[in-house]
Amino acid sequence: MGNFEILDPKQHRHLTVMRQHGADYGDNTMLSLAYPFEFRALQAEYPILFKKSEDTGQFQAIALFGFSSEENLFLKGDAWQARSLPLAIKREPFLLTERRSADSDTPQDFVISMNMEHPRIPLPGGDPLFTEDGDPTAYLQEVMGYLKAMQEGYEQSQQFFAALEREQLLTAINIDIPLPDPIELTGFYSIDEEQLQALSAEAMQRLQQAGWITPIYMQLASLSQMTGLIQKKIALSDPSNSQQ
Amino acid sequence: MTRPIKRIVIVGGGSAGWLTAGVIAATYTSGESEEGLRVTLIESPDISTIGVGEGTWPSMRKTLARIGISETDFLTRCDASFKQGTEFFDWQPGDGTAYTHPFSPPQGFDQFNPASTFLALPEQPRFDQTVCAQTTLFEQQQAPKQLTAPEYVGASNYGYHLDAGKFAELLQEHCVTHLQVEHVTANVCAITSASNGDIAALETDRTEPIEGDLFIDCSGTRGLLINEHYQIDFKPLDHFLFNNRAVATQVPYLDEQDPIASCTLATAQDAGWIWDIGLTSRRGVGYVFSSQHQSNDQAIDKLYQYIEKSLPTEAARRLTTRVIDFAPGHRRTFWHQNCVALGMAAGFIEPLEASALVLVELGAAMIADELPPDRLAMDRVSRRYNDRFSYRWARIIDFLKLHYILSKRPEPYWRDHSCEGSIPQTLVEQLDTWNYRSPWHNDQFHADEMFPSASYQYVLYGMGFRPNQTERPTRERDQQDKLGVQFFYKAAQEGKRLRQAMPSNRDLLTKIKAHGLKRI
Repeated sequence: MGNFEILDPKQHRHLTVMRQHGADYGDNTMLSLAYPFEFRALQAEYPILFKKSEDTGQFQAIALFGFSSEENLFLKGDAWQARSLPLAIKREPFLLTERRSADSDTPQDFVISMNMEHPRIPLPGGDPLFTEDGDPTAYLQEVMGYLKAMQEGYEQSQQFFAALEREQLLTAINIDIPLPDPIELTGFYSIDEEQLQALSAEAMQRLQQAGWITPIYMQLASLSQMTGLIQKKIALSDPSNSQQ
Repeated sequence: MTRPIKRIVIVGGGSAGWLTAGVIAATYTSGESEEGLRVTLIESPDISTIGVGEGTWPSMRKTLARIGISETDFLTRCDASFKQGTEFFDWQPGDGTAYTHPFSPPQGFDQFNPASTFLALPEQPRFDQTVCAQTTLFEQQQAPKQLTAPEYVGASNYGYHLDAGKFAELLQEHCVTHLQVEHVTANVCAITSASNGDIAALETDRTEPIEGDLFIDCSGTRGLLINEHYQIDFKPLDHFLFNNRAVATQVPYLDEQDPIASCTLATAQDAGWIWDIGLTSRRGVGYVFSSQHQSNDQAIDKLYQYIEKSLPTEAARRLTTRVIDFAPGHRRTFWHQNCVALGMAAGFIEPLEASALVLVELGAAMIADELPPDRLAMDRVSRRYNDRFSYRWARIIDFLKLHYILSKRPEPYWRDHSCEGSIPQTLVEQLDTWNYRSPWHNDQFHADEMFPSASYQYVLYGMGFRPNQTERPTRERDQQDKLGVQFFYKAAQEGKRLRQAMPSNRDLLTKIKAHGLKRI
């Protein structure tokens, strides 16, 4: 859970946020959300899979970092060993919150909130959010850019998955990780490659016009990163590597 | 005589008629093509359907999927909720006696019979709670699945509670829009016979005569074709099962967040029992009883007393009740000539094990799966159909009766249930058998038996039945008991897991309404 506060230049004037990576800063997570426009960059590093949100049951894309809830195989000390990070990681510990008036169900606007219990916040020595004059720092402006992109990504995702469902392109996959103690990952989905090959020309054209061809193939291509991730896991559990 | 079967005419637009239309029309290609099958449903504009809240079996999931209706649409449109079995209260005398008949079989039931090990346990815990994980979900009104589960897939076995009127509406819309079922609104006023005694056509008050090759009578207790036309004998069952009247009402939730029970509640009374079915919008509550043993006024009073447990007295007493009379029994023949009766036209019995809709599903599926190519083949199919459904009715009677004869309640109604002549001979013999060995898979004579031996065990041991003969010792007994204890432990562990993981029935149904379930 968390204790969320709406970002306020007065109240949070002296607040700083640690920007290093590492398990101590909350990066010990097995996955994060990913948005279709990120797939191209992310597929070069991570397997991209789909799963259902536990709150809504709706599909969402994720980048996979590990095989159990707090395992991130890309972390090495305070380094995240990858060339690109998902927005959902880069924006931590901030998020956009819808503000609604008391008598209406429609959101009025969005405000930035942050999780005051996030490990990046209470530590000393982080980056400030506001200048002496109370203006957003370059860092905060960068974060605002991430959050705005995520909001767009959220809407893009909804359309993306609506299209995939319409064309019946999703399939459930079970992932068996061949370790001495085998792990079976369940509850994940992927593009159904066979179904994709069998699509009619009209369906293909619909996907193309909506711009979904690239993210579809990027997701499929990302599955080859699974081997790399498994190798990271094996390397980690192999005692002969532990001295390095 | 070898006329091909190309047009099916269904009479009656209740849930039976539309379910049948849906199953048949979803199975075969339709249209004007040479080989296509035409399905027509005639519905009277003047007769309203009997729409009380109803319970289904888990089979309804398969049936709906077969017809091509999404579970999300079904749940939202029919105010439906998840049903995981039945909980029986007060079927034995004493304060708050209870047991359940969950839809999931005992843990490991495919390889292990839990009865002997259970009966040898030093203190006698509840059978259902010992052998099965599902019962624990009833206590906190929890759902059988999570929001992330695909449509029609559950962590435990489940069926539904539904609003039958809304269900018929949804089926109608689906059948007409997606399955090319022809919907005719008219009253049937005459029947034209063929020279061989078949029905050739139905004359109506507002259309040309409607010809057909197979006619399905879903016209309700009236039995327009099977009864009024063919005068097929009715086989009364009230000497076995006395209930022949119900007073029913609809009970509102006090708060829209009130929990929705995830099983049917069946509470015994002095001359019958009260059903309590939780839909998302309201509860359907009714007292089904024997008019020989109780007056309407007494029955209505009992019903109000029951409702007062969950509603302020004043509000409870203001609810309007409806009296429904019925004759328990069924047609001696269901399929006669080129006419087959389904639903209440075929027969009706008290809803103790929600057998009404499942019989329609089974009947419709058999008609669809074994649809004869031509008239010549039909007599062969109809003989099989009649045999099978006579057998099924007999099993339903046996199983329902079992609920009553084990009760030690003192009222005359309950004592009459134990009278020798009121128990079918097949059941008497079964009971004698169960006195030295428990119900097991070899009690099943058919692959698609109505009630599996697990169901018999739940009711038998739930009602406190204990064999009066000691079991012949087997060489494997120790081994069996060891296995038994393992499975009991597994059931407890699985129960704990389900309790933690499953949302409440109410929560899940609210979320499904907002977001929907996915097909995969």
